[in-house]
Amino acid sequence: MEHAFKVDLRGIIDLLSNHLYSDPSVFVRELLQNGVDAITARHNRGDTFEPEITVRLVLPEQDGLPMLEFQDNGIGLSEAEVHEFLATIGRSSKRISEARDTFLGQFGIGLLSCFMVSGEIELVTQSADGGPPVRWLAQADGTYTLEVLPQADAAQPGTTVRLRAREDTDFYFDYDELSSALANYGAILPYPVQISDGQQFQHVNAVTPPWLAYADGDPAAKEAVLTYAREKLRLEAVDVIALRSEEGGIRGVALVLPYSTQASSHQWHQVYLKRMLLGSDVRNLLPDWAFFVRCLLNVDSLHPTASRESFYEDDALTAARTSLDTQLRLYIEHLALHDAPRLDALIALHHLPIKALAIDNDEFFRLLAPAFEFETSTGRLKLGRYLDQSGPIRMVTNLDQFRQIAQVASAYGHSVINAVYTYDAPLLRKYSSLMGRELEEVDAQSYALSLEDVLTGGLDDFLARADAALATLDCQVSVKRFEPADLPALLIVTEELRQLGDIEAAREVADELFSEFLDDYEAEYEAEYERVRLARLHLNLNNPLVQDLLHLHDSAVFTRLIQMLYVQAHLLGHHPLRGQELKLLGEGLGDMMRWGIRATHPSTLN
Amino acid sequence: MQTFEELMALAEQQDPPEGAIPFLEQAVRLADTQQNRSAAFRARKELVQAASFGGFPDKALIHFAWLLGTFDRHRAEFQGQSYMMLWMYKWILSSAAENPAFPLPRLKKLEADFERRTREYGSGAHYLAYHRLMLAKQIGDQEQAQAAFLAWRSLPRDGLSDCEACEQNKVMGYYAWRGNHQAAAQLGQDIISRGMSCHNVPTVTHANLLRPLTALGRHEEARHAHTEGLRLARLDRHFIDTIADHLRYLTAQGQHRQALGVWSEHLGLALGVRNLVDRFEFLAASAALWAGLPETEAVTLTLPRTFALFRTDQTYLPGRLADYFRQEAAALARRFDERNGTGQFMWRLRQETEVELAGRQRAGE
Repeated sequence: MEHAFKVDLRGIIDLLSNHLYSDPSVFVRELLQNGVDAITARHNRGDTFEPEITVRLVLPEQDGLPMLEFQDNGIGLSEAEVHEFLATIGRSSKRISEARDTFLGQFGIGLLSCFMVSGEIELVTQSADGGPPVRWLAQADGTYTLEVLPQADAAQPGTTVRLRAREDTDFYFDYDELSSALANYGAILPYPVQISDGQQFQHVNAVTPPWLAYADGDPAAKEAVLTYAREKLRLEAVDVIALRSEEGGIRGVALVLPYSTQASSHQWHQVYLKRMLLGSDVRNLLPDWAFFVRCLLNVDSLHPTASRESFYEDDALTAARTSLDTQLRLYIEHLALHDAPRLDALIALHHLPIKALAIDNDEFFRLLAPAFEFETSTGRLKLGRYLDQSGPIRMVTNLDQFRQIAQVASAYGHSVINAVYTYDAPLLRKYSSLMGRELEEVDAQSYALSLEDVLTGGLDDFLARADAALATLDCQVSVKRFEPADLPALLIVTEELRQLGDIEAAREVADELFSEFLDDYEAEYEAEYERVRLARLHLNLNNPLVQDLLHLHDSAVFTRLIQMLYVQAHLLGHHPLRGQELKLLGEGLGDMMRWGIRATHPSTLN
Repeated sequence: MQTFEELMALAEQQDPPEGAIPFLEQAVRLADTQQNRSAAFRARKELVQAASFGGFPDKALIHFAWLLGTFDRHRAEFQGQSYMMLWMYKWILSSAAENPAFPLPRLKKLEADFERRTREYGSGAHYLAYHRLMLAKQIGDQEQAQAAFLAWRSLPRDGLSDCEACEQNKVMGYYAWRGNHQAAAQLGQDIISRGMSCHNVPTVTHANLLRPLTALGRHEEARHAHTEGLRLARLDRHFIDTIADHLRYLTAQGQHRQALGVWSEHLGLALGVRNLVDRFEFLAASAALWAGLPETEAVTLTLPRTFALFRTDQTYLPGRLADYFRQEAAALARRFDERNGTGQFMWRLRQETEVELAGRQRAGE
């Protein structure tokens, strides 16, 4: 019998085709899901049978378009049930998620999604409860016919869906495309999924990936998981972590990546919902800091969004995320307690996420902090080693200033940490506050001021002449005694002065409009940094050359020597040389070369 | 001594963008010393980006000025950088507008310069139209904003337009600003359900949804937007104004304990933020938060030592803090209003704090 136009399907077809899914190939997933649900329902009914999901690709004759047959031997539908799914769809045209709440509703949604790739859908279904088979034929414009077919003896329950490609969708009906889509979505489905096109045949999920077994607690499966990662995912995972969570019904693994990643890089985790692939880049399930692992997870009880492409943000998801967070953390803590070399390797590769975690979690921090490595003025040291020395933790948070201080600090046996790298400073501050160890945040200026003062009583004249030598360079001279004795001078330049230098560099090339902006910034900085505007050159009275300078009276030579010490201090302290310094270097060397020649070859001078 | 390439590589390894800044600055200065113009250009490009997204608009502009000047003087060498220069110019345009130290006539000159360059390059006027909308919103001129909005929407997208996610987010932001809650909620939910994303989206989207959803009585959805939005924006200097929105939501919902938790967690960060619009938003939200608490009932909180009213006994009187933040916010508000020639910022501040005060008084003082 034909029933036409009872329910208007146009609305929902439009919704499914145009607004819900990111990609038409999800129709494969939808048909698979219907097959799986049908077989499960038939099992639950008590039937014993060999479950089968078969996809048959019928290639076109001459000029035709390919056709696809999707068959399962699940519970099937009766005529009444077909009417019911249509009615459910008709009612739920606004809320897909509502429709998916029932078996028939989900069936209908899944079926209608096929209109994304096919102009026509044919459904032939035989209910396990008996009765005649039913044929439903629907068009993309929303019209359909429904007929009851003659009842056969010993009819097998099941459903067959037939689709024919349109001109613009024939590539979805390609054997390789289809089999990889089926393999992708159905890799861990519990029922066999097979595809053939008359010449080729494949049982796409013949081999179950080993990671579920490992998650279930089979330690022997670990090697298999690593091999699987290497061969199927092209990933040389460093380690495998089993993940199991009551919250969300989660089982799976985290593969530790063999290369460093960043928070900003794309986290992709392969997540299955009730054994069907949900997505390969599900982002909101793992905690933010987990960007150093790739997870393969099966989730049984979280709620997907209407498109089934991600999870709905609800309390269940939050609880699941918290549980996964704990497990990943426990893995790292376990390494800290039982496998130091592996922990070191992990930190070396993935120090950023681990440090981020340590800052947020006190327990984790206490366990891991001694293993973190820092750059110090006495080489790279683990915090544990560094703390073996007495005295406060000394750190510099400015790259520039670290270099300035490093020259002198080591001579005094002070090891200063270069805490300019991400998380270093917060970690050290946390250590200090948590463990009660004193922390000194050293800045170059105050460090220099703490060096041994020299009574400048007899040196006023010397200092005045030295200042004059550097008058055009915004630099003031002072005299100190410090180690190492072979370092004649220490140049301390504040960050603020550097900023002003940056403005100067920009001003050299900027146009009128931008110069106005630069003027404003310069005025702002100068007002703010009044006190620290000048750079300081600290001459070292322990150094023989500086001692000689005290007795030097030739003013031209004295001036040049002070200027050369100024430039040398730049080089030794890794200060950038700007135009002025380069010019000074050229002129100064020139003068000194001439004096040298004159002193040794008086007659050959130019 | 690290080489230029080593510094650039180190910069890349730091996380997030602001961690890279010290390394990039060193690289710039080193390249300058070596008089290597192309290296200096390359390092400054990275620095302008890191500074723009790391919350240092001053550094971004200073180094951009060098880039633009160098670009102009050496067209042959840097011709291939035209598109990148214009893209960066967008960031500079918007951050300049958010600095009250710069007078309006100069901002107009900047706009004109940008327009001239985009025309020369052959690109369209789409972004500039949006920029004018942004400025009109800041000034609080509803008519001008509406005209700018229509002008912007009528122009086709071009190579300099922001990504689709940003664009939709901006449209949503405009409707929210106009008080059209339905449209704003619709657009925002669409962004989220479609999984659109870029640097700002959907972090900002979630926050933008808070007021419309609450106004529409969709409280459960608003709660989700708050939970997810806060998770995304947390402890990121770039999103301090978004955090302010979340604070306002919590304050309005009467969830003062949670609000104080989020607030104290972000105070240190917020006090160091250089973008003055963002800082104003945080200060205003702070004033409203403290104004909503019983004036003389002390609150115990761990706050950073850098806070002006820091106390070693960790107890704070809401009355004092409300007054303090009101003053700080008002100081900033006055600077903006003076530059813009309107009373928009002071008006907003008054609105916000008075609502809370009234609420507190209603709650039975």
